[in-house]
Amino acid sequence: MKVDQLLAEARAADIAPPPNARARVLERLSTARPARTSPWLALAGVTAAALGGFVTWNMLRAPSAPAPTEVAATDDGVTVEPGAQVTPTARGLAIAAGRVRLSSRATLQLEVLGRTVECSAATLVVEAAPARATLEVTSGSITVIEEGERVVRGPGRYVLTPLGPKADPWAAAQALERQGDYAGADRAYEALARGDGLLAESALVAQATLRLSHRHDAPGALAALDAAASRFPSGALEPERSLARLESLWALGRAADARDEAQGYLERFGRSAQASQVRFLRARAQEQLGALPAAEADYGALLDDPATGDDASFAFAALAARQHHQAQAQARLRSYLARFPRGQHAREAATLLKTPR
Amino acid sequence: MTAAPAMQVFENTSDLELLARCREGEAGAWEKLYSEHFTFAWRMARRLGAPPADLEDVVQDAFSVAHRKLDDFHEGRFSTWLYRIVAHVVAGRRRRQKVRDFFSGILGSAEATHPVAVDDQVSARRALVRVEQLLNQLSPKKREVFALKELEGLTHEAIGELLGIPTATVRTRLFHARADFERLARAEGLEP
Repeated sequence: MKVDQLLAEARAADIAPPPNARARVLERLSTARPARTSPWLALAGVTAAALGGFVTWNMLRAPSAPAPTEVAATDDGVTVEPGAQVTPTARGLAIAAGRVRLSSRATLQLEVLGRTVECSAATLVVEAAPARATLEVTSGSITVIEEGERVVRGPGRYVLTPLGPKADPWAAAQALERQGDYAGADRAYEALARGDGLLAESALVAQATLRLSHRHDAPGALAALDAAASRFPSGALEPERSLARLESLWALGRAADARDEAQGYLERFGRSAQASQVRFLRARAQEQLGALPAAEADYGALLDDPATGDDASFAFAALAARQHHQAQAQARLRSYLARFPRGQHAREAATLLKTPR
Repeated sequence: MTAAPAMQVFENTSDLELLARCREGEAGAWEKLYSEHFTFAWRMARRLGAPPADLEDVVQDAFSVAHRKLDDFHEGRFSTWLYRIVAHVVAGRRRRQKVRDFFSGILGSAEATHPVAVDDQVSARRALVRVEQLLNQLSPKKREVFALKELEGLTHEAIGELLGIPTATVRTRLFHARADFERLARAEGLEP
């Protein structure tokens, strides 16, 4: 047979998908069935998990510095401390920032963070900032009116936070990310990063995580992390930053840099919840760099780890195979199956063990 | 013998409109986009060497990636963009398969690679299997242009657009691919 004839016959072969394949795949896609997991675990999502539940708007927004003012006025029972931003209203005061003491028998209406606070025969101190206000009532009671609801409070310390999503750009950025509007979320984090304090630092880390996880932009993630490191060298989110950097370096295939970053993380934050995942990644990097004993030591230490044990145990066996230690590899595969009979590599491990040689 | 019709890769009149609706979160638009490109993704995955048993997984992975990355698609043809995702998925799976093959090989597995199912009843299928076995011995880049030209019947220009390379590069790569293929075919007893 001639080559051209063979090719002509091959062209005539029907390679159309089977009748139900389109519907089957669509169903799997729409039910969000996860694609088969690679046996070579990536660390994706660790940073997001580390940030999840940690960053909240109320924790983050740095109080704006109050505008300089000469106000030190006193009225009947009202003392406005220097630096406070206070505006008289028809029935009382609007307090934007700063500290105000009140001790008045007259009914006074305060506007604080979008609420109305009625005070009558009460003694209290109001300390307001754009993101948070505290009301310390020492005697009497106050009535807080919030979106039409009236709540009466006696002596105690109360905290008010901004109302609604519009007042919370951090929540808005996270909502965009949850909705899958990654470009929009990136812009929103960018805008937040132009601010100051922990919020800006968090926005840069969140932007890096977003770029890495959803935009497949590891260089962009590194750029955001570099900005965070430069602006906040002793920032509160140093562990999260290090995790995100580690993921980015790994995604870029920079195994030696990833190993060094993992090493640094483990030295500084070795007791963190993510330490075992970082150690697993260090092992992967070591393996890639040919440092097999170091990789083996790390895998070996993770065999019973709840987060990484499944992958580490399988990788432990694979490493023995890679070093041509056949009996040891088989023993480790058996050990893997004993530990993780329903593990994500169980099928492959069982197949490898059953295959006749 | 009638040749299978070549894929109409570049007729995507309403893709941009569908994509805009997808970005607005319209599930129906995504399903339509999926339906219109499913066969294309399937055929391309097969031509790039994805084992038949893995095709559903490959196509699922490719559409899953495409859906996640819709925001990254700004210009050009959706099919070209999708092709690159399919190629990436196939290449990724091939890399992982190599690792498994290595692992299996060390343990003495006889099932290191996917055997290609041979349907002895159909000569066209048999010919395709034979061609694919030869293609598997070419480098991925040569395999890609050769399969797209000789099996899928695309023009040099269409291949260039799909792969994002100049037409001249397609011609050069194809020349070398054909030479390699013929050399391998001769070794198998075929006449030039």
